Amino acid sequence: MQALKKTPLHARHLELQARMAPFAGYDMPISYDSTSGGMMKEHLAVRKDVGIFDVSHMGEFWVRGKDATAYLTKTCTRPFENLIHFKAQYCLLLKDDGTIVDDIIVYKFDSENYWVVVNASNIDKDFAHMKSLSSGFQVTLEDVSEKTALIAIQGPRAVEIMKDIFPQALELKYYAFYQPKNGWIVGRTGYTGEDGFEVFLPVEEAMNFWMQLEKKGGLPIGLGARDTLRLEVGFPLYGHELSDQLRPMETFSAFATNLNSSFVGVEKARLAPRYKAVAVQSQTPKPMRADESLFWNGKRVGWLTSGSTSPVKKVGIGLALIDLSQINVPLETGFIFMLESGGKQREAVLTATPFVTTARVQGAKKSLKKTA
Amino acid sequence: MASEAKSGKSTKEPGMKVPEHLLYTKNHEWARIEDGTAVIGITDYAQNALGDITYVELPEEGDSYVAGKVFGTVDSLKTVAELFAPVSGEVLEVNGKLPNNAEHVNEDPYGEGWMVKIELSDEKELEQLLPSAEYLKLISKKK
Repeated sequence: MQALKKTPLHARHLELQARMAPFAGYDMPISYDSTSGGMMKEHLAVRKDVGIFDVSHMGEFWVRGKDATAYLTKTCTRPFENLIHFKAQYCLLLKDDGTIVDDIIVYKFDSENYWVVVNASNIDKDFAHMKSLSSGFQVTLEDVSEKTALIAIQGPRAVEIMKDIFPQALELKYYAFYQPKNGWIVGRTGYTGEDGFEVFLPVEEAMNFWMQLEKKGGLPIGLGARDTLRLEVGFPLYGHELSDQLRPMETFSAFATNLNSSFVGVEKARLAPRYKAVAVQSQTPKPMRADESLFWNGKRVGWLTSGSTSPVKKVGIGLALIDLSQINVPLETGFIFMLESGGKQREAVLTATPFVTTARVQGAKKSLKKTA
Repeated sequence: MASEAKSGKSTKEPGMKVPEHLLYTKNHEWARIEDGTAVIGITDYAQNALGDITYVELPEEGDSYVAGKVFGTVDSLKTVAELFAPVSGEVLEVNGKLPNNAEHVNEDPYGEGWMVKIELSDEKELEQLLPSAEYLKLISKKK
């Protein structure tokens, strides 16, 4: 087995006695129990205060060249011509058959320079996929994942701890970014539903910046709470809600797929969906679990792709796929499935996402209006 | 309770509290024996390993269990664990507060986090349980 890779903050995680576990080839902090009091407390700290995350395992590519815009428009499920400079866009990479290679965020510096952020477990696969689509375009791809650290600062107090370090960051709108200095990118993005920032920086500078954030009151948050935070606002995770078995319109990332654009896989992406992605919640705090089955009229009609207990609402929550060949009634909010685990059944009620409203996920519509 | 947890942190490693007056199982349940009954819960080691506990499923009063049989489950954010009856007997009482306050098991596993009270049907079974020193040895090995 290959030795686990370490992020530039690894030593600090050990110092904080984090519970470590292998994730996407890296030895990553799952939670900082002995300093934070556990995942639940870390989760709530991000909802009410401010948390800092080492997500340096994520992958980063440069896409540069005269044809970069045309190339990315062919490669991703949304076009890039009209995206303004210093704005990022969430989209998907598809195979020819319309199935999902990964979900990514593409940061547009200008029409010839883009920064692409991909999931840690998909770095090599994505790079090979993107490379294979680049012939015929004047474009160069560079994988800078190993040289790049990524620290997320998330929560209602994120602006407070950033204001002394990068005052300009406070002026960024959602999904906008800027370069405070060479090798650094600061974006108003995140994976928690809260207001906050993601900071890309050279690995050599990561420890200093992290310690600065800790001193300003940023609480270190592990990947455990990162997962419940994203789940609570209904954000999909590759390998769970998204996979190479699914096409975009069958997932929570349908919104990021412009079927009028012309990208690799678009013909198949237009086919009628076989599955419907739904959110369900139960009445007790018993957590839902990925892979648990959903029944309707005694028939298995779907399964959970992610599940947990919502730390804020204290009820079981889950994201699920419904097999549309097994059920032909309208699936509306309030529809009741049965969830089975350990031989016992309980109700799982179809719900709209997000499960909880936060600064970001309830404010999204408002800020769209403002910027439109 | 909260203050005890705080002060406990500095004096002892997390998950290693093993009160001397209790008996233990290899599955990390504890039993407090009083007047022919056993009050049962899970150990500090177990709650620490499970992490944030969000749900506890307990039997009903009047149910009977054989030692070693599953009598409930504990769900944490991370995982689910089965609860094994340390002794045989009828359930006299269940901790009715737990379904809505599962965090009590994390915060106070030997106090407010107790789970059920069983009427001992065979006191000889107690010989099968581990005294605190042996249980401490068991979990120290795992560290």
